[in-house]
Amino acid sequence: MKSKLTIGRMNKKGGEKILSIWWFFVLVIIGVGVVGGVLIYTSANIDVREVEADILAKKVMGCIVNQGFLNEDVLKDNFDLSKECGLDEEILGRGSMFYVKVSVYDEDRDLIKDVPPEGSSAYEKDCEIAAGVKAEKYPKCVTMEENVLYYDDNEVKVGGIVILAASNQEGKNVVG
Amino acid sequence: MIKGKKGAEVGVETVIFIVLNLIFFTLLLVFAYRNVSGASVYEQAYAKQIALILDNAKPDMTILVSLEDGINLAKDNGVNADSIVKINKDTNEIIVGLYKTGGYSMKYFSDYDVYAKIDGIYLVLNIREKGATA
Repeated sequence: MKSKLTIGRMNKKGGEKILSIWWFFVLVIIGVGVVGGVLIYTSANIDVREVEADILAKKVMGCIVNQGFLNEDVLKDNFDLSKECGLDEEILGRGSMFYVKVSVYDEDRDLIKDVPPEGSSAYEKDCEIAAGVKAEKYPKCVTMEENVLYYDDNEVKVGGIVILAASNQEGKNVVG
Repeated sequence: MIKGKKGAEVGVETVIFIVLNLIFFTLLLVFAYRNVSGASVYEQAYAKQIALILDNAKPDMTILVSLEDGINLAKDNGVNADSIVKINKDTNEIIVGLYKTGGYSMKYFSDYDVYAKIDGIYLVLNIREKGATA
């Protein structure tokens, strides 16, 4: 009778121990899950690169096309895209996180002029690669096309422009 | 007498078990709440929002951006509302900081002078041609 009681007590205590260990694991799993989820959420990056590239393309489009007419200066040799469109030369300089290129075509889609591009020239190739595959770290690119009218020897002609804009700016945390 | 003692022992264990569990889950919820409503997410969102606004802006524009949540968080962190947004005109950089140290930085590509000040819950951005006064 006495020995049966002892065995019974031992089983109960053993069961409680197993339950506590099991419960401890459950708490650890819940804790790790919640903490991990929160950290993933808070470290998530808000990706605005495509919006930024779109704004850049529209800004350039707005400054070189006026009521359907191409700005005459665009076809001149000394045309400065940054200066004309209110873009910062240093931000769009060497090692930039942006890129913008303007190409002007005639009615037959023959290239009339490639305006000297601003920003990181490597992005043009990156845009071609990123168009075909999923490449998260590659710049986000926007291509904008529009038909325009332009003067050639005092004659109004129909042509087109293609603007390629890219951004790879992700922002950064600063310390101090 | 013994039965009563045993009954009391079981009761205390159960209470301790429940209390410890409640403490654990409370701490977990507090951690989640403080992080999810944390200032670091707002810092990034505000910095990017302001940079995009400046990218899109034209000279002689005045733009109001509501920073209500950010200002409240900054106040909770002991940060003065006037020092939440810093704009470095030389590097075209916006730094939004809702803690006493650090912040989030983003660059804008517009080549204009930007004057920023806090007015109530709004950030007032005055965009001017380079060299013009505010």
